[in-house]
Amino acid sequence: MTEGVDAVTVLEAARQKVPAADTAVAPPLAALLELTHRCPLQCPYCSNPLELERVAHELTTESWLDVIDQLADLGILQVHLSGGEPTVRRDLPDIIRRTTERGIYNNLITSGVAIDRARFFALVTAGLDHVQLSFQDAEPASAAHISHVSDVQEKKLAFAGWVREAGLPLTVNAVMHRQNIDHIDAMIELAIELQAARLEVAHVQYYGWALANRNALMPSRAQLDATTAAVSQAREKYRGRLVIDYVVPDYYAQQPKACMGGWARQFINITPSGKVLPCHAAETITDLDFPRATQQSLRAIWYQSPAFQRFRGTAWMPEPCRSCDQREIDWGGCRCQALAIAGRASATDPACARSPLHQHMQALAAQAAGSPLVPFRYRRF
Amino acid sequence: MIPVTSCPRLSPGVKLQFDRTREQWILQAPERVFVLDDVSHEILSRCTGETSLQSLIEQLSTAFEADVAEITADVEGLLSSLIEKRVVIA
Repeated sequence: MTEGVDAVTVLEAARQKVPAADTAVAPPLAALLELTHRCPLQCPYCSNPLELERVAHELTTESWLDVIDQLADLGILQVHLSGGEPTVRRDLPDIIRRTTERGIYNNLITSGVAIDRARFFALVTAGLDHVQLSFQDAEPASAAHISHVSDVQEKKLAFAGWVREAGLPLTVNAVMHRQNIDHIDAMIELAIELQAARLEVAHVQYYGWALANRNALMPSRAQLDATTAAVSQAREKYRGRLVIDYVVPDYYAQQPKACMGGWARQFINITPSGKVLPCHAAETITDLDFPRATQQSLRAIWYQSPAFQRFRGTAWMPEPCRSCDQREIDWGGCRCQALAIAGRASATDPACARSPLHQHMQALAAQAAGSPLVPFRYRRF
Repeated sequence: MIPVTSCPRLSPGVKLQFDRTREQWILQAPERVFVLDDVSHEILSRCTGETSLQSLIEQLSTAFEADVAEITADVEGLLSSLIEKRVVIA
């Protein structure tokens, strides 16, 4: 999975029931529904594509409800309701209610700034299961700078209070980069103060908007190491109180991450206009033709579409991946990262120490981290 | 050690559910799914907040005609690991 940005933690999978990828295709476990690309925030590492989809192209309520029915029939267990900012959709209660009716666990991934108390409690009544709330920084002025919204922090703190009041579990999502990484301890304390059960410390991953802002965002190796140490101390200190999810960013990794749990093995992503992708960054791979939920059934897309089959399993792999003993652990890593650095989506993930471009990627990281700070290119339409 | 008088229950936002597609019991939790084997399911289906740990162990010991010490080890092992993950409250 691409931990990053709107980080969506992939499930601890039903492994014993998932057959080896080359013999049979297992049903998907989770879906990320990007209900809209509209968002009041302008974070420069947004996981949405550079080419944002307009409101006029968004799926209708009926289409989203049909998508949820199809996902339930396919065997999806969890949906992540994301964006953009999903709470700008006025039909969000209907969407949540349908997931509950179909036995799908729902997770609202939100900035918390575009909804008032009454509308939030309407989501609770509709059956909201869990909230993941993003924070740009623990320091209000810096959070305002990063999100480009002046009163962002006070709104988020109020929102977190409503989540607590509703008795819902809260995950704090902290996207870390050069301009907030030294505040990691304060971010952890913020999660504790807000009584979050989980904290995702997600380093920015560099495609799309984040790639365009790489020099403004890339931390140094020393900053990364300090963060890793802070997280490991906090895990000890808050054992049983706060669960912290943490993944090293690709540019400083030695081994690739099992991106999305493997291409088209567990996960479906649907864009605001109904494009169906194996991961939210997959559209950077422009030579794949991604199907639409309005034109084909999700079942046909999952089991038969060329885009989903392209990097599924291990048969597509080049050497040294194909004979590597990690091939069914990392599933070849991230195809978007391979494309971004190696120029080919089928190349060995440069995050892997066995990639010929591994040193090159680390040099790019060092160069970006050592560059003078440049202004953000904010995410906007 | 979990006190034997405490009544374990699932944390808010955690649901015990049968997954019809894969024909297995699962625990749905925030951004996590735990697949349950038969023993875990028997234990967790009794974590309603109304059954004490002691009574839970006695029930299982009777139902499976198993030694109390063995059941106690299974139950404590599972529940402490899920308590640490904030999936169960005791």
